[in-house]
Amino acid sequence: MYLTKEEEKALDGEYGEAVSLAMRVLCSLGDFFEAERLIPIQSAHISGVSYKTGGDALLTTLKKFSSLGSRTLIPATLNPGGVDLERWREMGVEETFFEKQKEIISLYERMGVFATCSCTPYEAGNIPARGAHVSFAESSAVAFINSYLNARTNRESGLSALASAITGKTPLYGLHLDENRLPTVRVKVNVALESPTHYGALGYLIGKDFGDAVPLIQSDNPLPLVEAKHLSSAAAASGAVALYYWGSVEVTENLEKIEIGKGEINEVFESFSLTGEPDVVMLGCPHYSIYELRRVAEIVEGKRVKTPLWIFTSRQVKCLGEQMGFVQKIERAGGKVFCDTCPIVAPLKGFSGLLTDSAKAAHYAPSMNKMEASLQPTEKCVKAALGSKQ
Amino acid sequence: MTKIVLKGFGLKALKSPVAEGEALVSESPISFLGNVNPETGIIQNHPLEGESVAGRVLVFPTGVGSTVGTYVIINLAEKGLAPRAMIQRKADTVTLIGAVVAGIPLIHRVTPDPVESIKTGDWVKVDSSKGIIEVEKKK
Repeated sequence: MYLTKEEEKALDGEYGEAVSLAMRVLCSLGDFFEAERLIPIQSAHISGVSYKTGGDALLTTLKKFSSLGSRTLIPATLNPGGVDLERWREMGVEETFFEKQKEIISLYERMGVFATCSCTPYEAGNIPARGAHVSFAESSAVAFINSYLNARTNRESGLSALASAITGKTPLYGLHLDENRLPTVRVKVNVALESPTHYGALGYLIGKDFGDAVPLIQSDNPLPLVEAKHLSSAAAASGAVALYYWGSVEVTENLEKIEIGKGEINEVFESFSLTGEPDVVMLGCPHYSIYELRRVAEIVEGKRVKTPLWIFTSRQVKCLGEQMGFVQKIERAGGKVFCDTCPIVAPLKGFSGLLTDSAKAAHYAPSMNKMEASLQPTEKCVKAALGSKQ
Repeated sequence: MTKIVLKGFGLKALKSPVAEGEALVSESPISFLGNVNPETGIIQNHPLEGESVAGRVLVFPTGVGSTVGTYVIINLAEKGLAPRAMIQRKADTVTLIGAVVAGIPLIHRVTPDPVESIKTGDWVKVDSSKGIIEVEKKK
């Protein structure tokens, strides 16, 4: 990979050991993928926050970067960690875990990273514009910003995103280049998608069938923000979809084509099943938007949950939700609204059967939390928590 | 014993680019977060359920799933449970950065197709700096 004189100096340590280490990470990445050069990026989003998923390797890595005096050069936001930093005791998390988690987040903060602790950075101010080059980890956010915002990022690892935040650069390859952003497969959707969870089911199928392809999804269904979030996160969980196109456009290229109908979508729902009744209902993967929070508040208002109802969102959305009274309605009904963490990266204990409206959360439940999972649209999930059939 | 040689594009600038071990071949992509237990190196919720990646040469199409997989690879390496080398049809950033930090030889864009021509149990020697893979077939 070609380096400018300035970049050579950075690699050689003239701007400090931290920059040099970050440059080494980016150079090995660029060399391996035969990037021509580095390009400046506008912002970064960093994954690798929960002590549960990152473990001691994460702490060691961050301490190393921190001890060398790392500072972010561009705006950088942070993915969820393992606990709600204020209500961690209510989650049944042990104090030792909480301490490690706090240490990880303060190491990031010392480097200048904004501790948003959310997987939806685009709802917390890190919104790359159309065509902007950025460096995002968090697979669901990668698919969202490439596809929905038409910004440009590769599927970064948490560590390469950190290196990019420190240097303000990323190697020019993959989805930063026009030629790699063309659709490679065609998906014809022949069914009305009734809920955001149905979009998640569709994404789940696409990720499973196509791995890291660039699908052109031909559908007459609209694609609002919440629906796009579910589609993006599921396709990036079952597969590695980082970019898709959505719309009713016809293409002339001879692309491999699959059709998805009601049967296929139903099969996704049926592929997640519980042997008994759920013992917890979790919503908010990806982190709930204010619209979703309001919907739940409307359903539970004046009622009482019989099964624990845990909702995960960003602190920004929770603040607005409190201001508008949604959070209070949910909590008065016995539900809990948690921030800073999520159903996948929190060290959940004492639950064995999860009911969720998120295909991504259902996908990771068995491996990440030893839970069986069932997938249903939001309304059905909330009503199940209330103990009502309809 | 039959021997075949495969060529690909390997990770350079590793302290030890040469490694060998018994192949573990996956026809399905792997999400290091979720599919590999970071405490034991055992594969879970995956067609290779129950197999260990520790000390093996792991051959798989590509990495999928969470971008935190990098730290799973580094954790495995610190516990001595990482694969000795990895061969991918197509590398992904999450696996690559894990390999860079943990110092694991990694080769991708291999011909002929490694997932088809290498079988679990074959003995595989890898030189990541040259992109060369030598396979001694089990049968």
